[in-house]
Amino acid sequence: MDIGRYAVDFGLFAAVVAIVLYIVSHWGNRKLLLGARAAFFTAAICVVMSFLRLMWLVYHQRYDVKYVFEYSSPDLQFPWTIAATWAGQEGSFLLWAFWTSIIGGMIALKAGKWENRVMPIYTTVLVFLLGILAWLSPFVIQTRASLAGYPPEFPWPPTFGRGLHPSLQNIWMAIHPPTIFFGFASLAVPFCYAIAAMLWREYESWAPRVMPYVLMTVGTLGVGLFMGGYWAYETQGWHGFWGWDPVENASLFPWLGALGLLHGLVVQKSRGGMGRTNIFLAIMAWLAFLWGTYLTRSGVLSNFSVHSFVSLASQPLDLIKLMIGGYGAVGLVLLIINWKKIPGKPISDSALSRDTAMVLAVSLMMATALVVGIATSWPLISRLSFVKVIPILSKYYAAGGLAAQPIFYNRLSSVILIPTLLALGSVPFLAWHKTNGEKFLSRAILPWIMAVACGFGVVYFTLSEASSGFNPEPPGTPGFIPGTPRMLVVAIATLGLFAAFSNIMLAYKVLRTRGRITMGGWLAHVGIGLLIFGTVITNVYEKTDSVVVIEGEPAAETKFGYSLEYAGWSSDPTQKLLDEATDPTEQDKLKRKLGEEWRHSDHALKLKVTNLRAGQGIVHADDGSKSVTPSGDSFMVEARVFFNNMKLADDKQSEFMTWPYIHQEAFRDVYVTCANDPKQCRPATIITPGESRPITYLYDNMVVMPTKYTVKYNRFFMEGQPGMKGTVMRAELEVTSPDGRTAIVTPGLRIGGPNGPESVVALIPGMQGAVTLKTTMNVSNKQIHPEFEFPDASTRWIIPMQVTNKPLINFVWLGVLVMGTGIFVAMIRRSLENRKGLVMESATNG
Amino acid sequence: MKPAYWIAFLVVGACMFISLYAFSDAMAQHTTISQAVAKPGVMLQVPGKIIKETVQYDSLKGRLQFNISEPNDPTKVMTIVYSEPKPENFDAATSVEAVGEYRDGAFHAKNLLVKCPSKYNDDKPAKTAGTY
Repeated sequence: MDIGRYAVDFGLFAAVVAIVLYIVSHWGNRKLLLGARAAFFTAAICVVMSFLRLMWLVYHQRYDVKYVFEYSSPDLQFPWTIAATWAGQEGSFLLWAFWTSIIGGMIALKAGKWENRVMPIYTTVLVFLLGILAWLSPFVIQTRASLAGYPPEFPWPPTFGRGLHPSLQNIWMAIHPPTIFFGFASLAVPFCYAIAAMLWREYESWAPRVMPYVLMTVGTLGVGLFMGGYWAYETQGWHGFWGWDPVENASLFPWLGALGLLHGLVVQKSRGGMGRTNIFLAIMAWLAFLWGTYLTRSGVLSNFSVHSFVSLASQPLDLIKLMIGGYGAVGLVLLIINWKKIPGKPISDSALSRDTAMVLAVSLMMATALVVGIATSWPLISRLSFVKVIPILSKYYAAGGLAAQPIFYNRLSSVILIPTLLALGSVPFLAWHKTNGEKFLSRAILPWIMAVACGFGVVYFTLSEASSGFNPEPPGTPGFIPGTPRMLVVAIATLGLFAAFSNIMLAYKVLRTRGRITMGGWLAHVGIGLLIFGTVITNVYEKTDSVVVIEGEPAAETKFGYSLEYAGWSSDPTQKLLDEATDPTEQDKLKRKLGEEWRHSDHALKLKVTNLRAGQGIVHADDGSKSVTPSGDSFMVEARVFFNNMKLADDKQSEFMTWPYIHQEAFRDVYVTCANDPKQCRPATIITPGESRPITYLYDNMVVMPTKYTVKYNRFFMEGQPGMKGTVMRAELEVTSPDGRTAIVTPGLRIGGPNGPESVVALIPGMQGAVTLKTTMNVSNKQIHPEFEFPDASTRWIIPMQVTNKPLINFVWLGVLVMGTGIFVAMIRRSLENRKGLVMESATNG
Repeated sequence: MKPAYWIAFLVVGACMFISLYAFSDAMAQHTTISQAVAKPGVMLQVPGKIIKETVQYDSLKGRLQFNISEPNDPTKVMTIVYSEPKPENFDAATSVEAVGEYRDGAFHAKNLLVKCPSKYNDDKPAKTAGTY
């Protein structure tokens, strides 16, 4: 056991002591409280120390530690030498515990009289997490090779690890998990405050205290979600950033819950209403996150997700179930007991008021969170027999599980977004309590006209895209609203702009008159409007086309006006093969013998991309053919390709993966990715005796490009006895060159070699060429697969590529940035208000 | 009741109603090969073992075609057609979850969830994004 493990155990002990002392301190003096705080800080420091210890072990490549062996390797570079700390289940639980400790320290110091009310509840989260880490320890040391599945004679401890998957070796690996786990950990704060508020019957004063934390949650989770999306966009190659996968949804519905809570808290602070709703939402947001954790970590949805799941052992899983059941029961029972006692101040009677808009907003967020949460869990729920009994639900029953497809969520969002965006665009001009209708219209008319004008621009854009000769098919799996009628798309995009315009007008007014600190919320709304506009346009009007790029050939054209030309490799992908010949160590030899080598090489494929539409680069000749003149509007891309476990050049399948290259322009991204394994191909054909065929470049036995040579398969014959070692089976081939010369060649297969049949290469007389046979041969009909090499038709790289045009995607990232900035400003404002004791908020803007 | 609650109730109710009633074709039932063949035109999710010898990939058109067999019954076979580039990890995969519908003698998949063997091996955690 490593020292980190002892820190976890001692931290667990200290956390339990802290809970007891915090509870006892209600009947004791301040010394007890300080003792409780000391115990909590001891626990927190233990967690921080064990987290740093794991980081140290990972950084110093202690491969005898199982976790380090599984997730690190000597070829890792900074910052992944550190980020590998949270690459696995154990490490990510430790990351969660780390943030829980840090945030707990903040509460302990800031909460004042609420400290010993909130902290005993909050510390239970740490107890659960440390309990999970005690079962699922990242500090297990593998003392013998056999523990890692190697033979006992394997030199141990190892000098290598299994390494981090290439898709995790991205800068977002260092940023995204810490961000999103900070958001998750901070969701416990409103929950604990809500419980404490009910226990101490202070149903009002918890709200302003919890507000900065909720803003922190909403900001970090919201930005973290899109970081994950950007990461997928940058590495996964399916040219999308959101796929409605259970893993993504499991972060989305807690975020929507926290967002609903945030808006409810604004109403409670400003108008005094929604007190019950907020307590309910604080409980539900936390439960939603725990439920999402259960869904994604238990493996129950592994048949329904493109992500891979590593199922948790039953004990940590039981602890998560206990958290859901325990926190859920305590929270909901307390809410029922307190329901009547929670004062409910009435909200406005007027339909046209900010009160109405806020109630509508909270309801929409709750409803969306609920539907997304239920739909994500539907593979589990649909198996329950009660579903079969209820008439409305019975068609959604399935014994094997029923999963909502992306199109379900896309349609759901198109339904939900229209009222959401109308409310979002109207709320800046709605006053609390009551709004003068004429005044509202006179203010809202300007952003409305601006949005409608832009709407016509969107219509023009969609029509011009449709007329560009490329039929915009709705994209498949990824996307937000594909498949919906065009007018609905235009309406949603335009309403997104309406929301952005009206909120930016108010943000500007607030900036001029009331100081910039109160503009945060409005700025966040601007971001949401831009984000929705960008998401809708980019996902509905993206265009994708597949082309095959061939070395030494003219550029391949996509249907929507880009051409791709092979321009070499940054490093030779075949060069790695030379490593096979260099002196391996004993460990390497054994690894290879065991077929265990986990090795990858990273190469960038260079391509020259030309935008044919922009530069008038197409010259149409009289005969109908067209050629491309060099225009200034071309750029180089470098699509990265990783070959894993690459073997020698015979066609043994090498695992490969790609990273797309994203060429960013102001109004579009050109997204270029390898659609399949790049291969070095020789001219070849597949032929049976008596046939005559052209010699072509083949990829997966499909003709990619012709050569001007042809071949005729005259006959098949044998030298030696059938079945004898050394016997050569030969094919008599007649090769015809472009200028009409012919040559007879007899390439063969020698049977009985140690590695199966061996190819006997034959030179082609008079053509400076050669021919070889692939070692697979159809014995019954003597079909062969000869490969050729000629001076004017040599081995070439053949690379299937996929190109996607993503219009206006920058609005998505701009929207996220503006939203994050707005939430951050709002968080500063609410913290300052609390510090000044401005708990009773005077009228907000409007 | 306050108008605010009326409005919220009506809007949310309408959204829920639409999502419950209009979207039943957007759900894919997890089923078996024989049931998929019996229900053409219905969106389904079918698991199966990839029969490696039958894999054909047309990289020019980006069209993947292969046969799968039922996990416990190798005699039940169905052809899958997937008109998108071959998913990464497909070559290493042993089984697949295909989402789509059966028509014209083949299962036309809109989505392929590729299952690599390492995911089910407790000793070797899968080295794919999202394992945490």
